[in-house]
Amino acid sequence: MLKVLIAEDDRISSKILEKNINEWNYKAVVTKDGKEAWNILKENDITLAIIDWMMPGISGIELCRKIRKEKKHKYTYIILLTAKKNQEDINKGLLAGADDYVTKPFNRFELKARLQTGKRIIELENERNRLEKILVIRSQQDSLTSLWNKSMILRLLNEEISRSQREKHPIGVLMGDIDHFKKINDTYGHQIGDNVISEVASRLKKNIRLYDKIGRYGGDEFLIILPNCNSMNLGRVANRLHKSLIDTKINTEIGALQITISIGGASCEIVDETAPDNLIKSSDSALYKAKNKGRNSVVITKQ
Amino acid sequence: MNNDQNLKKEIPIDYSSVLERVGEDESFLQELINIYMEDFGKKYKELKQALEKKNFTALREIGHSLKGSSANLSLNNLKEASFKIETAGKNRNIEIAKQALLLLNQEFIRLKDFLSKKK
Repeated sequence: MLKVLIAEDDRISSKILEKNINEWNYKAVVTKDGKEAWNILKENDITLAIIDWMMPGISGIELCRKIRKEKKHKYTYIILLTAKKNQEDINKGLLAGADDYVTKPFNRFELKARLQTGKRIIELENERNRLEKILVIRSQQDSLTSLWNKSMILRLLNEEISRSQREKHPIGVLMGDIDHFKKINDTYGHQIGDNVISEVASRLKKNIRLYDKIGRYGGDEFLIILPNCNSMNLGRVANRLHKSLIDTKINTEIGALQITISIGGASCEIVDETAPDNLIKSSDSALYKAKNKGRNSVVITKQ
Repeated sequence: MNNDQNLKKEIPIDYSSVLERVGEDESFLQELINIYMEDFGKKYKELKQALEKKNFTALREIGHSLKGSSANLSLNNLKEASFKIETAGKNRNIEIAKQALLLLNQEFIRLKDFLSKKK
């Protein structure tokens, strides 16, 4: 049920509003003070408000201005309640940030209709927010594996490096690449290739710490960021990840497939500005070494 | 004035309009009228003090507030009298404020009589 704030100091007017609003299937939240109204709006999920012009504490007009200026994260639809009928006052109210106004004593059906308008706007706003959230996630996640995508994992790498620099912690990076992945695609088709990638992604994710970050860096390539992880520990993690992938075959529609993976890693004990580029380059060349060694292996370099 | 208008002036509360506003709930209306009666006593006392002290701001503010609650209950004559007090406060006119306060009291007595007869 949509909540409606009633900010009105007149007891009778407030009671009539409350009764009507609850009858129309909203949930009325009542206050008689402008300051209290602001505190309620600031902290709650109330997005519809009926605000009286004349109130102790903060006047309705001031409250409108404050809401528009300071409450940015969520839109509040404001109906200003006023005894004033003249054009100048109405303009003043709307310019202060009210969406609509109703003059007192209000007509019941008019208020109901105007609340309906507010509800419609709030529902549109909620839908827009929902879509925006989905878009943000879509732009950061890889759709097949739900890991971070390439641009996001690189952004996270920069953030984690800055943090390590600030907190004087080491940081490690691992790059993993499924061996002969092209052959899987060519032999069994892309559907099976996708199944393999998903399973590899989920095994890798299961075997890292909560605060490590993992992204799909390329087609069959994965990038893992391990904050506060020195070279020795990085080797341990890399071997654990490697083992988790080769110990158990991957079940697919055409049967269980044995895959192998090569992992290259680099860590950095003293983090500076050159770290982002260097970590990527060094783990990439470590991965290259692992491939050259005959694949299915782990190579860690220390910076 | 024709008879209809005369009758309207005689009856201090416009029942059809106030009942519409409260969703035709008569017991709720009674509750509101009780609140009004209670508030009125307090506000009338404050108005009398404001008049003695020539506190025009208080006359304007209390007049305005009383105008609002009278209007909400469709107490049209009381609303008019309150409006006169508010205006007198705004214009800093003590004579008119005095007259308006007398009128307000008369209208309130008329309302009380009307409501007690109705019972």
